[in-house]
Amino acid sequence: MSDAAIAHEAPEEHPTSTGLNHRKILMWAFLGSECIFFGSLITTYLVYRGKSVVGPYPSEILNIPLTSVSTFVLLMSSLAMVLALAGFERAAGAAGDVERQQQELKKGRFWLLMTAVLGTGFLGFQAYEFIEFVHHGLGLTTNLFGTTFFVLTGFHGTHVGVGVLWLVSLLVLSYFGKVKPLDVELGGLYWHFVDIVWIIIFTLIYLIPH
Amino acid sequence: MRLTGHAPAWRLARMAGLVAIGAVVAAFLAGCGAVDTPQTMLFPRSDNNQAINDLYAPLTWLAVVIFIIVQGLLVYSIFRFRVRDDDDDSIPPQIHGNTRLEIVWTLAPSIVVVIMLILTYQTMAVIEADPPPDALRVRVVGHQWWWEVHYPDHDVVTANEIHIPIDRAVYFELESNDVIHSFWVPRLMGKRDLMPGSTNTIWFTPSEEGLYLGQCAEYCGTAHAQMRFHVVVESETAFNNWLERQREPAVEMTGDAAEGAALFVSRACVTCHTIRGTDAIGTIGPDLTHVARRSYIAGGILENTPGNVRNWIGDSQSLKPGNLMVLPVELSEEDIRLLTAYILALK
Amino acid sequence: MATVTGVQTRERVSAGAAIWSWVTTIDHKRIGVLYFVTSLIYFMVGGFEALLIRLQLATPDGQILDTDTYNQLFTMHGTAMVFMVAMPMAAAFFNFLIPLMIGARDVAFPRLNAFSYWTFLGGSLLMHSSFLFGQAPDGGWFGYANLTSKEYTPGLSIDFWGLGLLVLGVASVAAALNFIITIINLRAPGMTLMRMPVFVWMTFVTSFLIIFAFPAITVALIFLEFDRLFGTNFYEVAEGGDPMLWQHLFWVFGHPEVYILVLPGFGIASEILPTFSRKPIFGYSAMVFAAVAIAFLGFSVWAHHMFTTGMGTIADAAFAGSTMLIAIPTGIKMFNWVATCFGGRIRLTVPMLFALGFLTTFLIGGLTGPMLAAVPLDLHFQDTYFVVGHFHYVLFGGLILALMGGVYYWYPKITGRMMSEKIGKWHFWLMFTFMNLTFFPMHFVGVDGMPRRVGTYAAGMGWDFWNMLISISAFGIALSVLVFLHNLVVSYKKGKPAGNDPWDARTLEWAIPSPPPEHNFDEIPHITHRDQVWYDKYGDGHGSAAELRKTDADADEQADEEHDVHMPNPSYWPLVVSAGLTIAAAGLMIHIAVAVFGVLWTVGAVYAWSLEPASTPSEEH
Repeated sequence: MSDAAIAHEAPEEHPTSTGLNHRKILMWAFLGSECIFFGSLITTYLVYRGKSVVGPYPSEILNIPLTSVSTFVLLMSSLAMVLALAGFERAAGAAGDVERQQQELKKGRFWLLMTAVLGTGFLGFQAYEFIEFVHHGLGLTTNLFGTTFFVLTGFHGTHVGVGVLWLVSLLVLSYFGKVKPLDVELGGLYWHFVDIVWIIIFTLIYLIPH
Repeated sequence: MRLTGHAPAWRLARMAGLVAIGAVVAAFLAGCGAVDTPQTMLFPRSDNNQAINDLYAPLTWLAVVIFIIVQGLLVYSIFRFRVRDDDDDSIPPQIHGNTRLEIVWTLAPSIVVVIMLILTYQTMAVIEADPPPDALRVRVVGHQWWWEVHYPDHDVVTANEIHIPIDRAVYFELESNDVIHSFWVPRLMGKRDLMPGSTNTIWFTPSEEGLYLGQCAEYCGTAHAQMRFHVVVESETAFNNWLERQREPAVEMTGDAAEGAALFVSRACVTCHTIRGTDAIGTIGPDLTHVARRSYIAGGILENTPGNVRNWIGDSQSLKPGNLMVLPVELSEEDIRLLTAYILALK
Repeated sequence: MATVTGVQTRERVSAGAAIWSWVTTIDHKRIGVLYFVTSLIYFMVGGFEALLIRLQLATPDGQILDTDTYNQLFTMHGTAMVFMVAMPMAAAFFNFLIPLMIGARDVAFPRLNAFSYWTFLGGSLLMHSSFLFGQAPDGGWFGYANLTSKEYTPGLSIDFWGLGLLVLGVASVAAALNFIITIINLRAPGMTLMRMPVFVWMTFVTSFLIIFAFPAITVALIFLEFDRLFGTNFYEVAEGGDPMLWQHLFWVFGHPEVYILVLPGFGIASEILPTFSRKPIFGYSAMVFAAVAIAFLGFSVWAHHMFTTGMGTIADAAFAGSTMLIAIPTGIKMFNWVATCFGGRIRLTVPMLFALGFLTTFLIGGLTGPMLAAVPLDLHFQDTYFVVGHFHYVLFGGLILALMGGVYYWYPKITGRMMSEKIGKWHFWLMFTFMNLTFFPMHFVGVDGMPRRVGTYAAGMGWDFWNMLISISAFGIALSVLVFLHNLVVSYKKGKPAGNDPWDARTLEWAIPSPPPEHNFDEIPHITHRDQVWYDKYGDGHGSAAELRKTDADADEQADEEHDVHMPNPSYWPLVVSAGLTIAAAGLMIHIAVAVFGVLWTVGAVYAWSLEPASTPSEEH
């Protein structure tokens, strides 16, 4: 499986006009589009800040210490993502040296798993937070704060969920030799984007005083 | 690709086409001489609307002149450089551009834009200025599909027919009770939307007495097309008399009208309508205290005649489909007759 | 494998196999044809709706339609014409032409391309299925909150509309991403950005507009559907929500959408005018930068649709200013088109007639634009027939005429046969005449105070004559469309064989057979000039045919590696994913379990898609 463990750069990849891979540009362009998507969601949250007619209001309910921890978890997952990609790239670079290749690949897989685990951890925090809010009487339909908060963070959480699914798929596929460093890189681009969006959300929703 | 010497049938079509376009252009020029129609924006009857109209003419003519220039160049090119039967097949000079020319036609539209903007901003400064302090305040609340009208400083509530005095600024506060509507009396002023949850304003000083047509201009659901209203511009004296009258409770009823009044209160009517001085205090539909004095009923779509009132009470859904006056039980012919008598007596 | 496998000359196969080959096709040319035929059908549907509307409005107090039906018809007419006719018909041209024009064998992601088409079909069918349930959308194509809330529009009509548009949005963004990557990455060697045909540039700019504009309406629609399905408060006034939120999000999408619609028309005209003037496009760089400028400015003008909402003087003034600025790049384009004709040798073929008709009518639509941007005038024009006249000049005059010209221009390339010039001239003159007679008088009734979206009006308003004229002329347009359909069909069977380059044209698609072989180019061409095919024929000299550029060293060097062409395999997974998405959207109206099922279906199909090899294993090496 040593040879199969690293997919070859497929021969069908013709040279491109820019020398950049199609899928990589696709991912960048898609993330550009996603920026407007989250931009619209975040702007809506800001426009509706302080417009709720009934409570609970954000200052009564937001748990900044807890969310700081979950933010830290997500940030660490980005670090793990970087290490995972490095592992896969080094493994691909060590094509001649089977032992080193296996070693690097193992590292890559480990960090990929860590990224997924940390991502799942973040989702766990989010689920806990949502449940807490509901216990405190803040539901999706309670007021404008509930509406904008749950929809914004919910869509972000969904993105994280899709990312976790993606990472796990990469991990599984890597055992069948179907994962190229580029595949990991694309997943990484997406993952870092989702992470950055969270930093913005965390700053705007949690840290700016109401 | 050569055109043949024969006159193929499509040339007739082309001829017809060119004639038709000529007719449109002629009609357009005639249109600039403008026909006075009931809801036209071209014959303004207020100061602010006059200001808007003064902007309309220069911008229109600017557009016409630019059209003639550009289209003239295009038509000239087509005729001048068209391939003819006796042409050789030579290739024209392959000109890729001309920097000087291109600078010229970047600057030309820029200058036009600056002119248009200056004119626009000048007019905006006039019509968006604050109203004079002695302006008459009128609060209009949009409903699906009628207009509630308040005179907050005079304690008057009415519907669908707004009276204002001539030569005095009138300041409208516009609100909505349900969805977005738009308040538009083309002869008096441009439109302004009635936004649920906030108050919009617009003002003008009417300059000529008369009955002006207004219409909701923002799509607001089923009966949007029939959400009309009227503005009566009258002398200061007439207006004050009208206000006086509107302030009073409904007149005492006798005969059929009194029976109708009793029916009105015992039937569903009372849940929606107010008739001051009686037990009817509903707020869902228009205030009917002096409805008989209005020129129109049903949200400005029907003249206020006995026949129309009768038909409206009997079968409003066929006259204005979708309107919210839905009776839980059908009225008998006799009920309709009595209620009509009552409504007509609400002077 | 180097020979004919094009659309028309495909060998006789069983009907089932033929249908299967279309269902699984990932060939950009066939997908282009699918887009075209589908959008043509919706053009008939939308046109039929328009005719019903005009029947109702022909006389005062019209009795043909009841109010609710009328409201459904103008809603669906607008929605269908924008999202199911104009955009996909432009996409048909993008699909067929972009790879040919840049010298590529296909788009960058052929299966994603098929996915875009099937998703478009799914979304449009989902929305139109509302007619079967008597629940056609009736909130206007602009769907202003809070009229679209559950309180004011119960039932499912708005959900069909909102969910259908969400699915269509996925299709549009996927297609736009595909064209961006294709144009960035699949240009033939030597084709720099500034050597691309103007049509390719317009596609490029349009695609960027799509990926940046659609997320805004996606979010607006998500809010709408959350409000309707789950009871959130985005547009709930009583809870502090503001209907203006919808208007801002909608028009942040909606105004760039205007350029999404019209830039492809610019592109088509910019190909036709040079060919039939036998001159290159005048001021190429200015044309490109003007389009880019229009696209950027297009994102800064959205609130000019909202002057009557009382945003305040400062905002009104700012948006009036930014809107009028667009007149400058548009003016540049206009003058450059005229200058392209000037000094040429103009052949008045049908495509050229349509392109010239486009210039004329778009000019009119362009000139009423700044009038609408003048805030005080807009306080009158807003929501009247003046606006209806204006944007029909822009969209019918600016887009449909250009698209029609494009059909006549590229039909020979697509089918291998010429369209009839004689019928085409009938088509053009009927359409041009009646569109002017239909849409010009709309300005008059608008100025005379007729609001839009009214299904009935009283007599004596001075509108009767014009409305009758408009209605009669609308049927004239319908007649011209029938002539067009007749021409499409007749020419397919009996048209003159076209040959590679029937128009003596300038761009790469004319260098290959008509219809093009499945792999487009036997050898990927090498580009040394803008209008490469023209250069190959005539050189850059003035008048005499120059020697063909055959000695290019690079060309010979790279040519030999291109002989063994293998194309990616057909796939049905794109269709399966699209079906999953459509089921998920429909499920939200039926039962949450159906929606979950649809999502699982989609996820499963995405896995199957990504694990399916793009080409057969034997070809992988």
